[in-house]
Amino acid sequence: MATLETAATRREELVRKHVEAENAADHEAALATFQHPRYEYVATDEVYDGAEEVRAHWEELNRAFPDQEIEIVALHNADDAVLMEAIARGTHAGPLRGLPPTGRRFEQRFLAIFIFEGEALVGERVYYDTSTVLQQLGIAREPASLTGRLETAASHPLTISRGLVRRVIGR
Amino acid sequence: MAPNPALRRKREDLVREHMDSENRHEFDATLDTFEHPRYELIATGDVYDGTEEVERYFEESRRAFPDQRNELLALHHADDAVLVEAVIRGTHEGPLRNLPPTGREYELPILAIFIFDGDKLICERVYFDQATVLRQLGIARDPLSLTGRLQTLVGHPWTIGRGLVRQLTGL
Repeated sequence: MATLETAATRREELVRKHVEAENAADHEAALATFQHPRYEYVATDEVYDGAEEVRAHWEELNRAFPDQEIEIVALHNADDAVLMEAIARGTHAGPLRGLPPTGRRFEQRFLAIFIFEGEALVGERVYYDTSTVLQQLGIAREPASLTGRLETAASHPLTISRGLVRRVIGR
Repeated sequence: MAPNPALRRKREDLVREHMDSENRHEFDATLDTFEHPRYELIATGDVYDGTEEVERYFEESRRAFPDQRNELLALHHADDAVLVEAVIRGTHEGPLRNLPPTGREYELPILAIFIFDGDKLICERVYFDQATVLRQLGIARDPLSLTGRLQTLVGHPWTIGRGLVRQLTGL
């Protein structure tokens, strides 16, 4: 049992080091925590595999959100993974995929699975809500709000009117 | 302390029965897997606490998606939780918070944290992406697609206009 506890502690330390390096925008130090650098974003199906793609991904994020910071809320040690609940915060001060900087701040709670082979970090899989970020940047509305409903009805009239017909006729 | 094998087995059986009973639409059995029924949905900030609220949550989701079911992909044991990667599928056949039924199907990857006090289940906390559902129901667009970009511009002209000025002037 002692060896298991020690391996878990070492994995947890590596995850903390990884997050600290990301917060310092020290990409080389963050890369060094991976045996194989790889990111998977479940919400968007994006995968960044290998040092070159992961570096480019971090550069894109730092350009869009130069002050981005991650705060760890909880770490869950599993057999072959460390699962991290965390909050990311940042200001949208640079271009993001054609979206000009809105100057707004976002705060987003997310879950990251740090995937290990033994004690080697081989990937990070991220579960997060893109809607929360887009709403906070001011480019999407909460669908249940009044303005959100108006926007939905205005931009998806066929979907909504077919739905209303379906509800009225019960089919 | 890492949970011993007997405790792990007990927790895993409970989690599997929780998810299976949802698939059988035996929500009373699902409720029984909790010592204290509680759901936390991170994306929306919704919390359903206690039997009454959790029953209402089950009713709401059953009305909107009568055929909703889950598929377990991976299960991670941690010290005081079991973390599950899963896919939820369903057809939008009833009203969902004022959104009339669109008749469309969705498929959503989620991460659920089943939080335990010893061998008692006291909370399920779920991480997921709202936009993944809204896009598949046909009431939101991928913000990176051409129509998505046009919708952002038309629906949020001030945010985008200010952003362009900020980008040009470097302020």
